[in-house]
Amino acid sequence: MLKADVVIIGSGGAGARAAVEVARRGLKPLILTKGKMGRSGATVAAIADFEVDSRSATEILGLRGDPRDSKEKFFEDTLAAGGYLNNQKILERHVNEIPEIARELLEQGLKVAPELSQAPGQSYPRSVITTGARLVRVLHKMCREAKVAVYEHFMATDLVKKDDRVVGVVGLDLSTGQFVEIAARAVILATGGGMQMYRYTTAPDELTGDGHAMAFRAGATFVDLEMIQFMGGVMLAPPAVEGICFGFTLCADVNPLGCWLLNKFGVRFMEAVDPLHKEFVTRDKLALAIATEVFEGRGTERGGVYLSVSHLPRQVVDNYPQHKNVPWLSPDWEMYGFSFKQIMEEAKAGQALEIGVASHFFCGGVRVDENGFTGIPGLYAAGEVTGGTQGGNRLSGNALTQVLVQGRAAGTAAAAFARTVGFGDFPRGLSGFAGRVYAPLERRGISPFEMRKALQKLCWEKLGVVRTEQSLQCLLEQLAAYKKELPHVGCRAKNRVYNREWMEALQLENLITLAELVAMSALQRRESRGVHYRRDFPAANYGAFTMNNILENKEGRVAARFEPVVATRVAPPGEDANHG
Amino acid sequence: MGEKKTVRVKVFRFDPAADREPHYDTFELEAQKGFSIYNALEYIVENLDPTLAFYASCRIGACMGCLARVNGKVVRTCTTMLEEDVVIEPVKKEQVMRDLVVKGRPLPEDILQA
Repeated sequence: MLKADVVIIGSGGAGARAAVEVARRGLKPLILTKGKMGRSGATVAAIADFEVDSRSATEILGLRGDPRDSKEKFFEDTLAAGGYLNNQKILERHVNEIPEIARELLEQGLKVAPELSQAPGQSYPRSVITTGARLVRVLHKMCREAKVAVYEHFMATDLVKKDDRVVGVVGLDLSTGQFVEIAARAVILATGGGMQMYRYTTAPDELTGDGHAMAFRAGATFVDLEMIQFMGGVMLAPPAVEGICFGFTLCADVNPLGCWLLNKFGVRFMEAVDPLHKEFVTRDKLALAIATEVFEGRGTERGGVYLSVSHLPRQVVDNYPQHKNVPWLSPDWEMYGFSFKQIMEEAKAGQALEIGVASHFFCGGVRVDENGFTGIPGLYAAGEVTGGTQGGNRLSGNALTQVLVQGRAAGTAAAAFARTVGFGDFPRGLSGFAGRVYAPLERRGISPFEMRKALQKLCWEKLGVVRTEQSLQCLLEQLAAYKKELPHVGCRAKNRVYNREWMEALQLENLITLAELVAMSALQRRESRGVHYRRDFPAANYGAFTMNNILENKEGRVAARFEPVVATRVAPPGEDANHG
Repeated sequence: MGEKKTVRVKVFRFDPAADREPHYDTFELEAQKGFSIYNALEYIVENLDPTLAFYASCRIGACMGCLARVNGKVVRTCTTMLEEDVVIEPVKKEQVMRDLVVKGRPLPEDILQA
């Protein structure tokens, strides 16, 4: 058996920042990651910024911003964007602690743009422009200096409890195929969102809701899990560029080309959606408009729409990347290392691009307090796996701020708890856990790849941007059938070392658990708010639903209820707001 | 899209626990436009040989997790298109865990207590 004071599951921004904090408090952290540290997780893939109020960014970070801004204003903007569902105690720490955390990162060598940018929904420029890769490099360096231990290619499969307390983790060492037990005084979940539930996603391959499923099995509570942000304007084909938001860059981002979006009948549907701005709208509006075309049967075969430049003179298209007004697009049509040159040549000749929506960010998740405490002794969580920071929608840049602030907070709290307790009694005979891990390897049956694809397609159609009572009920019925089939999922590959099919089978079980949780949550919120759109309840209902949507594990079954939001500073709007 | 063309994907295979020496397997795939080396590896695992091991994460050119040696050159497999016959090998053959996956870092001694 292995032992570490605090075990952190996940090596992205939240996990790394948490580990640094644990080490600084004189305790031994151990990061577990399914992948490679610095080469996995959502943080490294972010082409991104983090948000700091403009005044602090000016005074503390020495960046060019607008000193009229304040932490209070940053708080209010985030709360308004979140539809007043945010946990205000968490949000207080979010706006208050990021300047200091950012100052340290800059001192440690993080390169950022000298001037702040302003994102939609932010009253002042607050976006500190950097990249996820740079941020991860600095966090990685801080981890090395703090002597943080890392267990790479380790897939945590369950949290281990003794009585009510979490006392460790078990999982699969992918490099040996061995089941491993790890004792810990405290555990921090930092596994990110579950975007792989969907057919198209902007997120990395490993974000399969492992943390959500482990937390559910261990009895954790979830908040507002229906709040999943989708990105509009991602490529649906060809395969290499699936999920890349090239379409959004061309038609709706800061410096658009002036493309038209057409449904399969050739109708430029954005003219009806927003006669003034047409294609030039925010990503959530674009996502809803595209998804509505598809839902109503006017989408392409892949479930998207066409992006056309046929109305433009060829020179205008050719000149577009030469203007260099889109920083991540090269003059030769290269974006993120992918060449779009051929695609644009064909676009000029009349072959439209096929674009659609893709899952992008989980605003809801495991319920935690402002210290990252889940309510289960010994279990903490940080980053995208949690809910509460963003409420019902997330402003650009608030993801990285969230992972940094919550990572540090959870690291601090977990270390403080670990100091007061010994290692718990690690239960003997965890054959149930081990049996569950080995079962798919030892049997033959349904291909986990095929079942995952079917699940992703189903979630995309029934639990995507547009939801109805009927679509959700249909999904839940199908999920019940999948759960019955799970014991018949088996691997053709029988090797133990780095067996992708085996990993897939274990992830599939987690994805099904997560899909059921999200569907239950979406069914329960009979209104539209934030990123949650119910076609059968298209308006927000402030009187009835300015509440947190809570899911609990009652002996293996999902129990749903609403709870008042945690409001410390701003009273959330009530019934009156429905008519205003 | 367009005319069909078959390409041969030759992949480095090695399981240090079982094999004395590495060998190469060749898979025939139909080339299509905008199909990356990453797409090819995923296709092989899901349809032709589920025992093939490779590592990848973000698929959008950012994480550098999917680096491999393609025709001798270290590239991101997600941004490199499959257009002709290729040989795919791990970045460091001497540190292979299995096939194209390179070993992770070793665990420190103090974690490894019974």
